[in-house]
Amino acid sequence: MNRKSLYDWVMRWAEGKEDDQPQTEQKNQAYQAFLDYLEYLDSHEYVSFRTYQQMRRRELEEKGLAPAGSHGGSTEQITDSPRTGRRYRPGRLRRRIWIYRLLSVATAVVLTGTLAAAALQLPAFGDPNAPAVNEVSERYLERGLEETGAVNAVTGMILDYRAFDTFGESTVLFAASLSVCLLMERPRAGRRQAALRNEVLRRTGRLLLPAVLLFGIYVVLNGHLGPGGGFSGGTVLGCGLILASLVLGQAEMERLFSPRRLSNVTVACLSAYGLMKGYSFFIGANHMGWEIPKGTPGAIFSAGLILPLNLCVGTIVACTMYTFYRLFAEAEG
Amino acid sequence: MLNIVIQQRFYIGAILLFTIGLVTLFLHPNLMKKIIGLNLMDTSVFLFLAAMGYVEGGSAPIVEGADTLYINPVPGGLVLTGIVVAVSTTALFLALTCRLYQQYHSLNLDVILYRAQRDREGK
Amino acid sequence: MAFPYNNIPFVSLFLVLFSAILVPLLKREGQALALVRVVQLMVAGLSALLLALLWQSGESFPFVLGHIPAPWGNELRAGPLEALLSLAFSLVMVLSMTGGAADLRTDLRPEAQGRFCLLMQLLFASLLAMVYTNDLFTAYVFIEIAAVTACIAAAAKETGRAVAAATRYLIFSCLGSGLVLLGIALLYCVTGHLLMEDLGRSIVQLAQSGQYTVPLTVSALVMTMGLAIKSAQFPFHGWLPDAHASATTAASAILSGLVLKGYLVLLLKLIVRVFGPELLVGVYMHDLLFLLGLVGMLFSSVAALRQEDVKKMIAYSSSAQISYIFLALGLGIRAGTAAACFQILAHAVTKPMIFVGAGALIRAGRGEHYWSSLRGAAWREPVGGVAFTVGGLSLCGLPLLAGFSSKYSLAVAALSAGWRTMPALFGLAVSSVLNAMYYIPAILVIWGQGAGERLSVQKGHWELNLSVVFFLGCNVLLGVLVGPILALIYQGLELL
Repeated sequence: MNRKSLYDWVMRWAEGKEDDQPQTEQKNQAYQAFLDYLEYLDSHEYVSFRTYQQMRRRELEEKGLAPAGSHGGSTEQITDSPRTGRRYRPGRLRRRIWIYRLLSVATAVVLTGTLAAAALQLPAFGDPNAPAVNEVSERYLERGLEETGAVNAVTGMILDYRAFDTFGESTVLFAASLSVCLLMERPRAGRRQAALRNEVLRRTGRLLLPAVLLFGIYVVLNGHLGPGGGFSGGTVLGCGLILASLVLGQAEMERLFSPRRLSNVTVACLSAYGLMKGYSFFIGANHMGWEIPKGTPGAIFSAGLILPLNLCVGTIVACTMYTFYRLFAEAEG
Repeated sequence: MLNIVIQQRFYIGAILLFTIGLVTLFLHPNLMKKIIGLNLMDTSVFLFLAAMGYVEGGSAPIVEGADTLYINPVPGGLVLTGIVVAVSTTALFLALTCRLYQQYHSLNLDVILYRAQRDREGK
Repeated sequence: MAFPYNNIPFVSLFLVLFSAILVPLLKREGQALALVRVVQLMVAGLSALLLALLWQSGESFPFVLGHIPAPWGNELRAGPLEALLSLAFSLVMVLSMTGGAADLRTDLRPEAQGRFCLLMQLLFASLLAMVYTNDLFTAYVFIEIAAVTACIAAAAKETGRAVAAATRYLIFSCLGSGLVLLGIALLYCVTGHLLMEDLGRSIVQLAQSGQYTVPLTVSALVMTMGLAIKSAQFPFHGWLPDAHASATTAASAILSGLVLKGYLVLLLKLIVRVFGPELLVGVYMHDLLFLLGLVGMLFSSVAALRQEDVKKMIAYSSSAQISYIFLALGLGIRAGTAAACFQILAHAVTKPMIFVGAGALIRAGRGEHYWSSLRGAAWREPVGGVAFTVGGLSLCGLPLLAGFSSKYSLAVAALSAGWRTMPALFGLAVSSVLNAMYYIPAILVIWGQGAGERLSVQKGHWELNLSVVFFLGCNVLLGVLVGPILALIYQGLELL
């Protein structure tokens, strides 16, 4: 072997040259048949590939499409022949179905066993002396009212003590809505949104709409006083917006809540949240003491920053829910 | 043994649901079922957390009197955060599924990966 | 009044998050990229300052988020190691965004570019939060931000292949975060804490009294598994090659250089601060990590050998490099942990450089990822060729480069690791040879004679040149200054 050919050999080896033959028409058919089989499995009971093929042939014969008498395992042979492509050859895929089944059972058994063993050793359900009921959770209940001003201890916890987590959480929602926009937003041509055509439904929707929106606002405003808060209220408001888009139609919604406007509102609310919490984190950590007055517990304007924070969160959630709906509805239309 | 199982029924139930969800997410080829599996898995952890927060005879942590017994508020807050996260991932997953369906006209991930592979080799 | 350096972690996190939120308000296309890069540079500067101050004073400090102290409120914590990691992460982030900028403009729709920059900024924020956080649940929330944004980074090119790969990535990612969340729930159930220090303290107590051993073990296992899935450690690495190979250059560089490392930093913190040695030795956790690492570094290297797609080969090599970190963590001694940190840094500066180089070479070729179309591409794009070559040689273990120093420190650590010495050294040697077996032919191909089409040398774009020069600088710096940096890591580990 002279130097030139050695060089070529190294090059070929490094380039990973394969001497694969291009797929023939026949093999493609086998692929296609097997892919159809996979899709059939998705929505039906499990049958073996051979049964599926016989079923298929019978169907075609009934319609008079396939030549009668072409029975036999000829297709079967093609699917199993060793030279049908390198990856994703039907024989391998078929084995993968079995591997799926085996793996599912094995994973399920092992995981359930281990986790159940752990669960049996956990502190008893409802035990008042469980380790989780310790000084951390007691302070939220006992001193939460004086330290945050919120009657609802969970709200006090997520928007005051552990507000950083909640900021992260709103950011996840923001990231997800932007990602969905990036994937689903298409040029304006051909956009069509579902709207209710039935008159009765539309009228009823119109009647319901103010009640839904009002209830959403109530839940948002009630966050520090009782059950409620930005996330749950925002979801109700978002549902209200979706109902509005069904009732009012696309043109009207486009006028009232254009995507640009919704995105601006979300950005404004998120940055307001960031600024408020940034302020309170900063002065808190540096012991500057410029605290927001707490007000009387139980009054609507109380609990310091919690009410405006809840408003911001509610708006963000409502806008995001509506954005998700709009983009998915457009994709379907 | 049996009475421990009955006592810890919420934990055991959550774990069963978690496993079902995990196996569906991991091993079922249909994308929509994967999404259902994902939600099942997340929800089972929320069940686990909510069960953990319960204190026998406690009421919801809306503080009214000093000497009432309340349930632990921490898991409630964690569940709230978890729900929002789960909604976000579900939306993203649905968007990806939508795109894949538009392009490959299938919801079976094996078929989609095969077609993506073939696209690439054909290019 | 002394310089308020204890605000630096919070200020840098806040700056990153807030700048990301403001991106949608920008009107022109290029502004988003500019804003993102400026903020990343600022964070790098702040981290460098923090590192310098903390190295001098040799201390670490908590930062209480709000007016209520730690077990009740959230808390960040910074020491020399955290400052070093955040400096490295911000530098690599800005260099990857710069080096991949040209591909970003061609691969993405104009209106998608701004959003992509925004999401990368959020990804950066989540990495910083994983480095600095002292609270497990905060870590979980930011893991999820990383999962969403990393997945969209893989899909942003919007080709069918990229979207399919991103879907698989998301599935594995959700699986991993589900397991992590379950682990956190179990831990909270038996200890009642979410703060890392309190968790560590109460786990030591529980391990000594023998209570709740099964839940603790299961939680440690489940969380390690979740993080291993997310960082593409060997048996769970199925999603990685496609996701990294089909993304745009900047995304590939960030995904493989930083995102995998973010989860590993978290795993490191879990091992060092939460699950103390009492628990981990009892359940053979170190052996598990060691075996995973050993098998992974051999298997992934073999898988990388015969890839026809250059980016896929680099992605498999990432999986192999991640295995080094697992192996080092599995040594179960302080020197091993330090070697793991060094490997995190070394891989974070090397792999993005290779991806940036490969991106430039692919663009200089016919836009295809296959070796056959890359023959001689380095003559057309010398800067990219140099980046690819130096990065590849660094991973093969050429002295004076980061990869060599990292292998060296790992080997030195392995010498005092009992029965693990021989397998570790054997694995290191074999995987280095395997690394050479795929990087050296690759380098030969790109510098080889093009098939009759010796095109003129292109004048590289300034962004590419700048980022490659800085990447090379970092690589040589890490390779030469291995002693001081290891000393810094030891100091940081003491204070972690």
